[in-house]
Amino acid sequence: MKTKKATILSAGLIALLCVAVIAGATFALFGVSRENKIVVSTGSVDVSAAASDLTTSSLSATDPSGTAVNDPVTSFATGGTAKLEDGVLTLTGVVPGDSATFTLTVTNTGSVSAKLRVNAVKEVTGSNGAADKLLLSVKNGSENFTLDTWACGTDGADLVLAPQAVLTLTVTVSLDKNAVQSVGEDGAVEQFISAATIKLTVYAGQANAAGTDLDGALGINND
Amino acid sequence: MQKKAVLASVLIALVCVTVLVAASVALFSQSATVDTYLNAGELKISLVRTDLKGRFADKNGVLSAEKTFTEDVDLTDAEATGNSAFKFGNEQSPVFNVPGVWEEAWLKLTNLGNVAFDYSLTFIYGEEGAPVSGTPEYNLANKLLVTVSLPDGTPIKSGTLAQTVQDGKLELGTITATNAHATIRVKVELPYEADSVDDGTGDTVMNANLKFGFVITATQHVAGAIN
Repeated sequence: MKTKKATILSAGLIALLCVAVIAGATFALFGVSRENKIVVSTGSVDVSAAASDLTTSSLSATDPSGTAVNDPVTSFATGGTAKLEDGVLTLTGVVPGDSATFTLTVTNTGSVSAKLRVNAVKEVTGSNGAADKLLLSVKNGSENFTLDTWACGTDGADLVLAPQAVLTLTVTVSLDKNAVQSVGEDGAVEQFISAATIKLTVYAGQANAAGTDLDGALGINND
Repeated sequence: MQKKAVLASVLIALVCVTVLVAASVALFSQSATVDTYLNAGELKISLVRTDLKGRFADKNGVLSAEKTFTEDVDLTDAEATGNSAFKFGNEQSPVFNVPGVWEEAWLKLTNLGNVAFDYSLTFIYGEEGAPVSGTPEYNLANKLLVTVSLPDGTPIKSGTLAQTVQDGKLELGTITATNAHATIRVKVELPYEADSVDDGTGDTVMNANLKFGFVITATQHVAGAIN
């Protein structure tokens, strides 16, 4: 019995590899970006000061208190005059005991809180010692208001006004009733005060600034 | 017996022939299939503010003592969410800033994808563009100080906002692995100058409303030149 013989032919194996070719004229890199927006708004420091509500008083022999309010307010008992106009108080022909009082309204018109100080500079032309007899008094409510310092708030702290807040001060200018008119060597009476100005300046600075820094920046001389 | 042998041989031959004719003939062949699989990588980032320190102004311009906020703020989609790295205020809730205000943000950039990238920071002006010379916004842009630092505080770049915008993109580094991250510090300050006063005139920065921002850009890292 013959056996079958199978003849196996082997064929070559051909593998085709597909190659993907990436070709392009432009090459776009992967990338992302993230934007964060910021807005910085700055505030402003600004104040307004207005003088109003003038009243005057003079010594009175008939009033139990010793003084009397003048009516009209623009006239003193002995003929002197008082005028409050455009923030300027003008007193003429005043005698010892005459006083003029007005309201000083300070408003924070800026957009940020500000600390305040009020400086007073007095210039007097007249007899020796006359400047000391020209008296200036400033009150915040019933409390004396300290001039020429940032520490003019309660208990000596800085006074800070919020935006649109108002500080109301009562300012009184008077001639000390104990002032004595001087007489010259020729016997002629000398004019006690021939001219005097009291300049009130309201300073404001950002609330976080140190007083000494504000003094330097604003040119305030504390000597 | 001879006759039987001859008959047997003939019979076999016929059978073989028959088989060959009836079957279909298949050539030996074989095929190989190579699968090609291309997976595009994903460049994806997250940007989170992890800490914010500074002296902050309230709506009345009063500066706080120095304080720190530690809650995470996601800035990844800040344009959509409105989140901001800083608390200088915005048009809906304005804050009046004053000299002395400063804020420093710690920004954490994380690779959430699987593509290594180079990252940069660019300061830009808002949609109104660069401020006009002579305006409070112009003055403010030339007063604000911007500092970019490493996490340990080592400054990388410092200058006015105006100069920083002009200088353009600041390359910062590369993040390679997935979930790897880097942190940078960005500080914006309106300096307090003790001996000078801004009274609202001249080169004032009062009542300025300056819009600007920064852009973090991540671009795939490429080693060598692309031909």
